[in-house]
This record gives sequence, structure tokens and C-alpha cells, in this order.
Amino acid sequence: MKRIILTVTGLVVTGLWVWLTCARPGGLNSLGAITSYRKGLLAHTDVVTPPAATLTHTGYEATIRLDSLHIPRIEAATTEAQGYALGYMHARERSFQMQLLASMVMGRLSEILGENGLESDREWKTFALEAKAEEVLAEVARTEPALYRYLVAYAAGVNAFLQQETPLQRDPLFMVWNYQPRTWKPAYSFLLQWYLSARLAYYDDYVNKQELLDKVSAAVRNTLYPETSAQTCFIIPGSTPAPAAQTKQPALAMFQKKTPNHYVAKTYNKSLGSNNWVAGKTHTANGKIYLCNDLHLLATAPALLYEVQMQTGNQLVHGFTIPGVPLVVSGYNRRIAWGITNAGWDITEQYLLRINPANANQYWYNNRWENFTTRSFTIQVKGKAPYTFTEQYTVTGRVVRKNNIVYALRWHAANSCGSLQALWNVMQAHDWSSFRQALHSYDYPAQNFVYADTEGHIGVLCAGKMPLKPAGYDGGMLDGTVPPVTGYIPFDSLPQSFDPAQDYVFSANQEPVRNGYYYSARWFDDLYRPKRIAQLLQQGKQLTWESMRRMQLDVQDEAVPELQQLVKKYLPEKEWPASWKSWMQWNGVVDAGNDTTLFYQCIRQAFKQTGKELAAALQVKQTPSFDQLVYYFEKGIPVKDGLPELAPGQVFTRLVHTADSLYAAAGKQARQPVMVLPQLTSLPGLNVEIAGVGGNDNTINVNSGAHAVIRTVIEIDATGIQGWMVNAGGQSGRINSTGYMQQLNDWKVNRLHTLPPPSATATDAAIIYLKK
Amino acid sequence: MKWYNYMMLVLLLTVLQLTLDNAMLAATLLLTGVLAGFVIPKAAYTHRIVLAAGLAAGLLAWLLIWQKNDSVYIISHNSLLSPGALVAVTVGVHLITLYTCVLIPAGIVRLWKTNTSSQKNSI
Repeated sequence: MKRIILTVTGLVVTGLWVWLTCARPGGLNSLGAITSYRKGLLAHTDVVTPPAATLTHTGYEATIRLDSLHIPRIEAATTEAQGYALGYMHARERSFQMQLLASMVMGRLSEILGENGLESDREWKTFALEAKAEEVLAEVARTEPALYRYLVAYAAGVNAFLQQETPLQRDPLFMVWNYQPRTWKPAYSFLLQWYLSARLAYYDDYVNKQELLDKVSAAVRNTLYPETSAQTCFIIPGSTPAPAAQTKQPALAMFQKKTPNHYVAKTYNKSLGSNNWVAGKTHTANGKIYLCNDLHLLATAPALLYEVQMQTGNQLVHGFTIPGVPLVVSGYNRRIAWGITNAGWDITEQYLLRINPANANQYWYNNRWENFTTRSFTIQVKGKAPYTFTEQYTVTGRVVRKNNIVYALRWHAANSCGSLQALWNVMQAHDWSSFRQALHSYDYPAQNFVYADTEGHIGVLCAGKMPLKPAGYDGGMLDGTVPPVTGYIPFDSLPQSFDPAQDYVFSANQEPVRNGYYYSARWFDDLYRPKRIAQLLQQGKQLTWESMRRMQLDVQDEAVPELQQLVKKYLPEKEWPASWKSWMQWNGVVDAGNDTTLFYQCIRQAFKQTGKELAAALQVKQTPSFDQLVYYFEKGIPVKDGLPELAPGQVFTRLVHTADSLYAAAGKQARQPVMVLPQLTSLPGLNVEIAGVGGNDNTINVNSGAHAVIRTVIEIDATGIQGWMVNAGGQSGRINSTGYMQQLNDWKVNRLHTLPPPSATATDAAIIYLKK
Repeated sequence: MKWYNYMMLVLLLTVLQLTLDNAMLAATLLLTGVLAGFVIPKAAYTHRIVLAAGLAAGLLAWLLIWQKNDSVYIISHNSLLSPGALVAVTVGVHLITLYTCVLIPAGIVRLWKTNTSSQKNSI
């Protein structure tokens, strides 16, 4: 009996272990394969290029010089060869990232991640963007043949590298996810535009906004949820706030006073924290223009952007590209420089539907019952049977049934793809006129472009395709029973300014202008960054390259003096503990790791909690933002809405107590805040941690969830343009590369680097010659 | 078992781990274990196989550090995993594979072989 038990136990243990090392859980490769000596994670090597390598039969000729930071300087005789070389480099450093993001947009993520990708695929597949990308490419071939040839050459470059590398030279994540890279098609570049649009301009807060409109009076909304204030610092110089919105009954009565709201909105982050500014020559000590840009994105390891310098004949362009797209999104050429921030315009629409009680397949539209149209989709899931599902559509969009609410979703970004064409022309622009002309085709995601040129001109243009909204629209649901408003804000009416009298321009995700058009209803959480930037740019003729560099690291929170005034206003007699006394004397510099910063963090958390309490008292889900609450306390108007009076004084006193409790509960760990950058596919153990960076949502240097993935300082005068840059994530996306997160320490102190022109002699780590 | 047979077993296990992956490795090790159960003399077979497996894993760890030092160092530099953790996880998986696929099958064979022999003797 003992022998049988021992035998069975032994067989079970052995079988279990064999299964554990051979099974492929959740789309991942097996433990045995990942730890294999021959082919596992540690067996993979970085792409090591000898000091001088020549690749023949490439179809194009180019020279790629790589410095120690893995930054390529590409010299080519034609733009096609330039595109080919960039494709080669993108594939070399970021092939997994490119494949992952393109697959996501095609609704093919499950082919890489297995069932982990199914939820994402169900969403993306319904937009049918894989086929749409091919249509856009065919259109580009007709309207912009040079760009078409460039994209084709780029794809050839990507594929040349993919074919050339051995399995052990490939990004080890391909092995970890047991996935073979698919051939890169020229149309895939367009997919990345949709990816960014989804990251930067896809909101899901309309039901909650509608609840607010339905349940809360205009007077209370103006007090607790204001959309503009006298402090608003618009992107377009000289703009002044329009009068407060007129009290008006909302068009849709979706919620009664006591109707509960069960809608669970997807989280979004409009205010990621990007900044750009141009200091005109009248503001600088040396009479030069400085254009600066820091792109704040949700932190991941690796980051999204890739630096490159390219020269074809006399044309030079230097800046940051998105792997998969061979175009510079922020940078300069020989005549102009440009930088971007996210505009956050409202390009998602949710149309409330009325379903036929007698027939669930019909909706009321234009005074009659219409049948839904249906489409079926199939998703290939790695290691599983294909997943098939059907979606219903109305004339306005896909039908979404969520938490007892039925609406049609219309995401305008899915309907066109003109930004690549715009960026292609921006790279070749030589003055404001050609720059502005280039941006005519720019659609999504809407961006605030700042501009400067060697002629001494500066400007700003908020570019994008902004759908027109019904009159009086205020950010809630739209009526799905009537035909939707069609059309877009004309290009000439988009917010733009050229050579403004103040001789500086800037943007920090804030409201662009009040010009009668609706852009968004989410502006009131970006007041303090613009205020700080404006303050620093108005220092007289003192700005230098060094002050620009330092400004990008600025962690001064302009809300602090206002809060200190509020404390004096509401609690003048209170006997304050040491934490408050020290904070009341504080200068508002949000350095990492000191006690006052931690205490302030607790105050900000108390604001969040207070916002939730106020929203609960009003029986709505949408909470007032930090900036809105500061405004509410400053105005000091009690909120009455058929509820017990919410006196600002009482609310503020409660907030102070909350802050004290949070501070008392904060442990030592909280004193050394660490920002965690999750690995691209959230693999445990492969995260990156950054400590000691400081900053918050109100400061130029934001480090809360998002961080400045890249920074640029570009110096411009009549003799030319020179750029200095840093890329937090480094150039390589490979975990086993020295280029991965390589510039993190430089980024923390904003140590920027510059590059010699591609043809100049320099100390290069490697040179790759592409030969026909 | 003579010392050179013992070394042959260590080498065999190491070579198997270096050259095979996953299911093929497990199957081959299982076969090795079963054969070892038949071949290795009755006395003290357990500690010899344990030692052989331990030595094979040690050899693998040394090879990992020596030959793949760059990968170990760079990946640990780029992540929260220390070089020690990376090597330990890799070697750990191989070591457990050796024990479960060689030692246990060999033990089971020995168990039944002993039983059969003793039954024959009693007859």
C-alpha cells in the first residue's frame, strides 16, 4: 500500500511539474521555454552592431550613424531611402512595441496575449480599422504619392530588419509571449494614429455629466462645477472668458432627482501634463527664440517615443518619432521648429437611444422606428477557438448596452486619418504659411502646435477636426432620436495666433479660446500649470537656454498660495499643529521626499475625498476637480439644492480634519514617493521604479501617473536651429538592451543632449551602411 | 556505481538541459530517470542521483553567469529583478525539473524493482 501511495504521489508531482513547465498560461510562453538555457530569456542578446557594418541588397542606400545613446543620424540620398533606414532602426529597437500597438488597433491583441487581449479586441475590432487603414493608404497613394512611397519604403526597412535578425537576436518579449512578428504593411503606420487618439481623446464621462445636468441646478453647477473663471489662461493670447453659461434646462431628461446612476465609466486622463512654449526674442537675454516641449504621457517602460535625426540633401529634420510612424511629431528642420500638447477636444459622442418596447431590435429615429443594422466579427485567440460576436449599429454609431443604459457610440477619430499627411508636410514646411497649410489635413488626436522659425516669427495653432455640436451642448449625452449635427469647425476658425503682441505662446492642455464653438467641458482642472508658465515667461528680457531647461523641471505649485489664503480666511483663530504651521510658511515647491510635500499631498487627497462627499450629497457621480473646489472655497457661496446647506466654511473645516487624518496615517514609505512605470505588457518583475522626481498635476514637471516622456529645448535665430533633447525611456524598447531606459538619470535632472549633423564627423558607437 | 559512471550521469543531465527545451527535455529526463532506476545499484542510489542533479544544476548556473553575463546584468539593470534572482529562477526551474523528472521516476522504478526482487526471493 505504501509503495502504491509513494508511486502515485511521485507520478502526480512529476506530472504536475512537467505540466507547469510546459503549459502556456494566459498567452505567455511556458516557464520551461522562458528559463531555457538555449532559447530562454537570458539566451537572447541585444542587437550588437560592429563599429562599421555594411548591409547589402537593401534596395536603398543610406548611412546610419549611432551614438552611445543609440540615437541614429541617418544620411540618405532620397526620402525613400531615409524612410527605409528609419524603418530598419525602428524595427531594430522597438519591433515588439510596434507589433503590439498595431495589433491592438487591428483588434488582434488576442493573437499575442491570448484571452488577456480579448476585452481590448472586442472594442477595437468594431471600428474595423485594419481595413480602414488600407483605404487610407490607397487614398494617400492618389493624393500624396511622395508620402505613399515613403511609407512603402519604411515598411520595407522594418521587414528587412525582421527578416535579418535571428530568433535569439529578436526582442525577447516575442519569445516570452510566444509570438512571431507579422510582416509590417505600409498601412500599419496609420493604426498608430488611432492608437494615440484612443489614448488621448476617448472619453466616457457623458452619462455622469448628463446626470449632473439633470439633477443639479445651474446655480449649484456654476458654484461647484464651474467651467471657466477669470483666472483661466487661454492658449490664444488676448482671449477673455465668456460670461457664465446661461441657466438652461438640459435637452435630455435622462435622470430624475432620485434616479440612481449605475453607469461605470471608463477612466480617462485628459490632463496628462504636456507643456510647450515659445519665448520670443524680446524675452531672451541673447535675442534668440526658444521653443520648448515636454510630452507627458502615461508612464510605461519603455516609453513611446524614439529620437532620430535625418538628412536628405539639404533637408534636415531632428526630433521624436513614434515607432511605427516615420514622422517627427515634435522637433525641427532647417527653417522651423514645432512642439505639441494634447488638446483634449471632445470627439467622442454618446447618443441616448429610445428602444421600441415591442421590438428590442428597433430604435426611435427621425419620427419612426428603425431597425438596427448588425455586423459580425471574429477574433483569433491564441491557444483558443476563435471568438465571434455581433454588434448592432444605428445611423450614428455602434450600440452600447451598459449598466441599463443604451446609447450609440460615435468616435470621430475612427472616421478619418489625416494626421500623418499633415506631419509629413510639417516636416517640409519652411514658414508659418506652409506650416499652417500642412496642418489643414491634421485631424486626430487634436494637438496644440507651437511654432517658431528662423525669420523670428512665432505662433500657435490648435489643430484637429472638431465636430460641431448642437447649440447649447454642455458635455452630456446627445439625443439619438433626431439626426445628428454634422460638420466640423472650419480650419480658419480653429484657435490660432501668429506673432502675438506679447511675443510668447504656450499651451498646457488648457482651454484654447472662447470663440463660440464647443471644444470640451473638461477644462477646469488645468488652471495652475498655464498660470505658472505664463508667470515664468513674463520675466522680462532674462530668459536663457539654462532657464528654459530649468523651467521644464519646475515643480512650483501655484495653487499653494491660494490654499494658504483659504486657510487664513476660514480658520483664522485655529491653533495649528506643527505640520500646518510649516506648510503655511511653505513656498509651494513640490520637491520629492520632504515632509511638507507629503503633507501637501495629504491636503490634495483630502480635496479628492471632499469632492466625493459633495458629489454624494448631491447624489451625482461626477466629483468636482481640485481646481473647481479651490474656486468654490474662494467664492465662498453656500451650495443649496434642496439639500442641507453646504457651507464652504464647514466643508473646509472638514477637509482640514481629513488632511490631518491622512497625514497621521501616512507611513514612512509615503515620504519617499516612488513612481512605478509598468512594463508594456504588465509582466511582473519587469517594471521600472523612479524615485525622487517631485511635482504634481499643478506643476510644469508633472509626475503623478504621467511623466514627461521626452523634453526638447530648441534654439532658433537667423543663422539656424539647434535642438537639445532627452528621452526618459531611452531609445531601445528591449529589456536586454543597454539603450532601454538609458537616459533616465539624465532625464531626472534634465541633462539634455544635442547631435551633430548626420554628415559631420563625430565619435560614433557604430555605423551601418545600407547598400543596394 | 563507479565515479566515471557518476560523472557521465552529471554530464548527461547537463547536456540534456543545455540542448533541449520543455516537453522534449521532460520526456528525455523521464526516460533517463527510469533507466537510472534500473541501472543504478540498489544501495545509496538516492543520494547519488540527488548529487548528480545538484551538480548538473550548479554547472548550468555557472554557465549562465559565465556565458550570459551581459544578459543577466542588463535585464536586471532594466527591471526590478536582481541578477541573483534571474539566475536563481532559471536554475531553480532546471533543478526542480531534474529532481522531478529523474529522481522521482528512478525512485519509483527502484521501489518496484526492490519489491519484485524480494517477492522472487521469498518464493
